[in-house]
Order: sequence, then C-alpha cells, then structure tokens
Amino acid sequence: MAAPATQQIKIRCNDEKEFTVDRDVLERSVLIKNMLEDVTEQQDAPIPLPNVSGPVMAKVLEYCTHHRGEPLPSADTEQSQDETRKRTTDISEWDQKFITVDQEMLFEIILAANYLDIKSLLDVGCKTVANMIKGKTPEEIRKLFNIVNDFTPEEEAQIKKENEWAEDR
Amino acid sequence: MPVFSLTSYPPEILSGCFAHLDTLTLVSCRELCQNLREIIDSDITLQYQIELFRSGMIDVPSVFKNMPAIERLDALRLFLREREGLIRNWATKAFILEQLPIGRASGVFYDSGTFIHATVNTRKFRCSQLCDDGRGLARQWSFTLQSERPMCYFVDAKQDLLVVADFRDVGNEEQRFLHLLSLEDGLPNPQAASPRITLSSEHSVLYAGPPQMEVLGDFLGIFLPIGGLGIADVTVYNWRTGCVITTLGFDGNLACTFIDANHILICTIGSESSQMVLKVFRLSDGEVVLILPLPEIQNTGPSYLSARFANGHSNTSHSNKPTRPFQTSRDTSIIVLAVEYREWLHPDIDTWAFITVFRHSVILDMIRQVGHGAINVDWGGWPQSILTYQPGVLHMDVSVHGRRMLILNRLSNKVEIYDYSRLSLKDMSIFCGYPAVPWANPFLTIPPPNPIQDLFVDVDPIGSLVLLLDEDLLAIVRVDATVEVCRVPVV
Repeated sequence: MAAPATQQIKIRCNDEKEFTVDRDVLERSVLIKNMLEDVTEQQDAPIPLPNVSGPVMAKVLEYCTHHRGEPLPSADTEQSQDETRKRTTDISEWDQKFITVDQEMLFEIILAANYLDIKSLLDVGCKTVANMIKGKTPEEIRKLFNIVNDFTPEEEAQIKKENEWAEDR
Repeated sequence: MPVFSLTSYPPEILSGCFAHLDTLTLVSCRELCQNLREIIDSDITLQYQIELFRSGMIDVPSVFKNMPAIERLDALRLFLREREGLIRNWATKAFILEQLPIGRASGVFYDSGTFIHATVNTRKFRCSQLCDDGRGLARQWSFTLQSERPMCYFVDAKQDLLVVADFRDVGNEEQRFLHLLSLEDGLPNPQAASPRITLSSEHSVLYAGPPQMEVLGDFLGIFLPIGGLGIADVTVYNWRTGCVITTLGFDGNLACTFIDANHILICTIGSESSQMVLKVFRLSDGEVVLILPLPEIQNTGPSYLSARFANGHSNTSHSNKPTRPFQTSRDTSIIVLAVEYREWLHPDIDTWAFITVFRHSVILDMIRQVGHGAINVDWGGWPQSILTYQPGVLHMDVSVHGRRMLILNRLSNKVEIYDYSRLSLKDMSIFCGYPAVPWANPFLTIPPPNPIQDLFVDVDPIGSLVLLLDEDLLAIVRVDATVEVCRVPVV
C-alpha cells in the first residue's frame, strides 16, 4: 500500500548535495518511484543519484513540486500521444517560465528528466529545443547551437538536392 | 568545459525534439551536420512524417494509422511506389501543362483559356494559357504569394478575383485568413488593394477540411463543412467591403451553392439523425424561403456523411475575352448534389455515394413562385438517385460545365461524362412520370441512358483531381505533379 503522503525521502546528488523531499513529489520520477517500491523497509541512507548535480536537481524538484498530484502519463496514453505530440509545441505558462534557462541548464534538465524518467518534463524540454529551432535557417541553427558543418561540398550539394522538393513549399 | 552543442544530446532525445518540429523545418535540419542527418534519417517515425508530407496526402488510409511504426513506413513507401506505377500515358492526352512540385494538387480555371494551378502548401501559383482552339499552350507564367501558406484557393473570372485561404499557426492558435487578390491578365495587380478577411476561429477545433468557396457578383460565400459531429458554417461576405452579409450555423454537415444574387441553396445533414434537408435562404434577411425535405438516411453508428454541390455557372468566361462556343449562362446550367456516406466502424462495407442533378432554372422558378414565407414543397418523395456508387468510392470528383457533368468514379478509375443539354423540361416531366408542372420536381431523375464518354484515366485514388474546363476540355491534375489537359471526343 502507498506510504503516507508526508513521508520524507532523502536523495544525494553527484556533488554530495542532499535533498529531503516529500515522497509524492519525488515519485513524479518513475525511476525513483520504482526504486522506492522495490525497497520495503524504511531506509535512512539517502538514495544516490550519480547522474544529477545539485543545482539541476533543485530545478527538477521545483518542477515536480509544482506538478505534484497531477496524474502520471500511463503507458496506455503513450501510443496516442505519439500521434498527437507532433508539431504541438504549446507549453503552459508556468512551464514556459520555468524552462527559460540558459542552454547548458536546459541540456542538464533534459538529461536529468530522461535519466529520472519524468516524461512530462522531458516533453517540455524537447518542445523548448524544437521551439528554438523553428523558423530559423540552417545557418542560424548552427550558430545558436554550436553545430559544426562537417559536410563536404559534395555531400552538401547532395543533401540540398534531396531536400529540393521542400523548397517550394 | 567543452563547448555545448546540440549534438551533445543523446540521439534518442534529439529524436524527441525533432518530433515536435513542423516537417519543413525537420527537413532543413538534415542540412546541419552528419550526426543530425543520420539521426533524422534513421528515425522511422520522423521518416514517416516526412514521406507523408512529401506525398501530399492528407487523408491517410486508416490502415496505416493502426500499424506499428516500422511496418507503417514500409507500407507507406510501397503505397507511394505503386501509385507512381499507376501513372501512365493516356492515349487521348492533349498535352501536359507543367510539372508542379509534388504535393496535393489542385487547379482552377480562371477563364476558358487560362488554367491556374498550385499545390496545397505551396506559395507558387502557375498559370497556363491555352491557345484559342484549346489544342496547345500559348503561354505560361507564375506568381508567388509572399509568406503565405495557402490551404486552398478559388478564382472567380468575372470579378478577376483570386481568393486564397491562408491557415497558419500563430502561437498556439490557428488563424485563418482569406486573402482577396485582384487579378489583371492572370497576375495579382500590385496597385489594387488586397483586403484580408479574418475567419472566426470559433469552430476551428471541430473544423475538418478546406473551406468551399463561391463568388457571385459582390458576394463571396465561405462554406465550412465538418467531418463527423460539430457545427458547420455558411458565411456570405461582400468581398469588396469585407462586410458580413449573413452567417448561418448548422448542426452537422452542409453543402452550399448560390442560386442567384439573393438566394443560397443549402443541403444540411444533421449530426445525430443524418436527416438531410435542402433549404433555400434569402440573403437579404436570412429567411428560409423554400424547404425541400429529404428522407432520413439509415445509419447504425458513427458515420461520415458529406455533400457537395457542383454548379454549372462556376466556369463562366472572362468578360473581356471573346465568347467561346458552348458558353452557357447560369439559367440553363445544372446543379449537381453529390452525397457521400461512410460508416466509421465498417468503412469498407458501408460506403456509398449518389449524385442528384437539379436544373438551375427550375429552382429559380420555384423561388419566384413561392413568394413570402417558408414553404415546404412536396415533390412526390425522394427522387431516384441517378447514379449510385458502391463501397469504397468516396471523394469522387464532380465537375459541371453548363449542362455537362463529369464524374470521376474512383472505383473503376473512369471519368464519366453526362450530357443533359438535349433533355428539355417537357421531356423530363414525362420521364419522371410527374405532372408537367415545371417546379413540381426539379430533379432530373432519369439520366441519359449512358454517359456520352466513358474514359479510363488511371488516376490515383487519393489526391488527384479531374475538372471539366469547358464542354469538351478536361484537366487531370495528378498528385505526381503533372497537369494534363485532354479533349473529350464529343459524340
């Protein structure tokens, strides 16, 4: 049976930073949720999270606290979401404000969401990246994201040719 | 610390980001670098999105939607290859107008000598002018609309008017505009004002499909049909001023056509009961002047029912050009109502279509005689459907010029052309077995025994379009981007 909502869980990040958090907030992370379910006895030792740093975890917890109590996406809805998520880049106002961070932090948050298995946060992150790409020329995108054009002139001409059909649209 | 780059992300996360992009941006991301191109090219969901967009198909065969992603991409590729194989030379082909970029093709006749065509989602419009005898090409030109993504367009030759429906996402909202462009010699006139009408987004959630448009004089009718449940709209604008003349909302689906400068004929289909009703509305006061009841359609579950009108007056000649033979005035033309029906649960079995033909002049007569107040006309029951199509034939093309009707039968891949010009009103009354009261039965219930032409055209079943350009000219606009103009051998 689920533990009382007030249960406090300790986690430790890779920079030794520790957090004590309400269990239901932490359970937004499917990874941690599964870990907690596997452990039957009360443990005092903090859960180690070797892939997440303290500052990033603080952001992730801010997100999880705001969204606590919302239903988690189930495996059932995943299929239909696959159909509808395309080209929907709408992000709620709070999430929008939350995710307005520099690129490195965005990167870290997305990786953490992926590692911790927080689907909704991962989605917000991916949509944010998509929004940054949208409406820009390839050259602008390269500049924004530090992408090195490693195509040979021949390869570049070939891709341009492959993409030709889209140019009139 | 190493310099942060987009390529620092793991591939599966980048795939997730790309899935949120519109297809054109996604395609351009292939140009960024090797790594990103490989991620896009090896992701089957993204590839499916690109192939689908490229094919120009909007209505994907439903079987694709239920497939696992990997099978789905293969199935789509096979389908597109087979479709290419379908396209063969046609013996009676007159000439090919121009290769268009691949996409969902559409075309419209500007006047009897100029054909304007474009693909949906394309900014470029191509124009081709036929020689006077229709046997060759006199000149070709094109124009581009800046930063527009037209969803569909419509040309009225009498008014030199090009109406382009522009649907775009602004923020989280879809905004819908109509751009009104004044044409001069087949080109948008830069000096003329090009007003813009913003369509209400009230029903955009339920809205499914491009609007149907019709122009008569100063009036522009916008008919928004709905697939399945919801509210359908008819709005009539004065396109010179942008003012709304009338707005009519209906529960369910509809088809609509102008009868004259003050009357509009609407076929409504209730979303619950599938009850179809024909009504004539007066534009000046929005009143119903004529109700033509039709029986209920038997259906057992959720269904798709759509109706369209094809009106013989839509291909009227440009006023400045010399009149070509077979020119018809609207009084002598026919109006065709095409109804298509499909059950959601059994789309392969319970699908049918029928075509009913009205005489334009008979409807006008009825309006003249009814005077004020709504009137129910008893015309002796449901008319015989003159043509009934069997399962699987949906999205047929019906095109009318004067008294000739063209039907693209997608079951047999045949274009059938019917000619009503030899039937007089008297003949029809006798045929129908009704008393010879002119307005007792506006339906032509008996078709000519056989189509005057029955041509095998090999069109692909989803996106192509066949139009009757003139009494003896037809255009086939294919999804593979070719436009063919063919002369119909007249019997």
